[in-house]
Amino acid sequence: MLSINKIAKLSHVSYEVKKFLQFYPWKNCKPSFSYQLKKQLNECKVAIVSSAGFIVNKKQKPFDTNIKFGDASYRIIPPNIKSHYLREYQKSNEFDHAGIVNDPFSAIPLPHLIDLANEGIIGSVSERHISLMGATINTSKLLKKTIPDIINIFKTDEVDIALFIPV
Amino acid sequence: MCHQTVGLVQKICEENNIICSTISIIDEITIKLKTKRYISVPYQLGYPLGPIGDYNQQKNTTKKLLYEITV
Repeated sequence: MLSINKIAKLSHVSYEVKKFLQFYPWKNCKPSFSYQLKKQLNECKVAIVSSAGFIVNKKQKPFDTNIKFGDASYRIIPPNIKSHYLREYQKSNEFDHAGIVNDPFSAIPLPHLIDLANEGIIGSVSERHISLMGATINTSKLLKKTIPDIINIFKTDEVDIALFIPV
Repeated sequence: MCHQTVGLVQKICEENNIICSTISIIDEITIKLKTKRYISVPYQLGYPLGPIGDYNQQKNTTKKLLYEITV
């Protein structure tokens, strides 16, 4: 059981949400097996997975914030997108949205990654990045559809490294 | 829930030889999830990489996330 009241970053969260988080049956996210990086960092292709619920405005369907246990779909974000084309549809009311609204790249650091590629820190930036709407309580669709799709995208794009940015 | 959502994707990516690293805003939840590789950040929910408009700090956090993979 989580000692929710001792987590300073949740001090603003309502009593009901704290109770929910305290007794929520958290999933085990430990891989049953895993690999070590076999390449140098400067030879790797890198992709980002953000949970900020970004879509490419006017080109992609918004996340459905009315789905009670969360919209488990995903959107593909291109690396060279301008920040004003990113619009967030994160349904959670438990954090301040001002950051990701005013500076979307603070939750999907694409220009930063392009810089790191240009500086030779990483090999390259993937052609496709993933946006999720993180407030997903029902993980069934996530596990059955969304995650296999993401793996397929990353395998097709020969991604070596994925960076995860929960908000 | 964001930590869990990305944690589940991370788990399957790792099992498919895609090496991962994640931001941890609330370490207590990250530990509960048994997430394999993460960096703890001193920021509030909604600001995973650092203050808005602080490009260099955000880039530095991104770099730390990458270096965590090489440790």
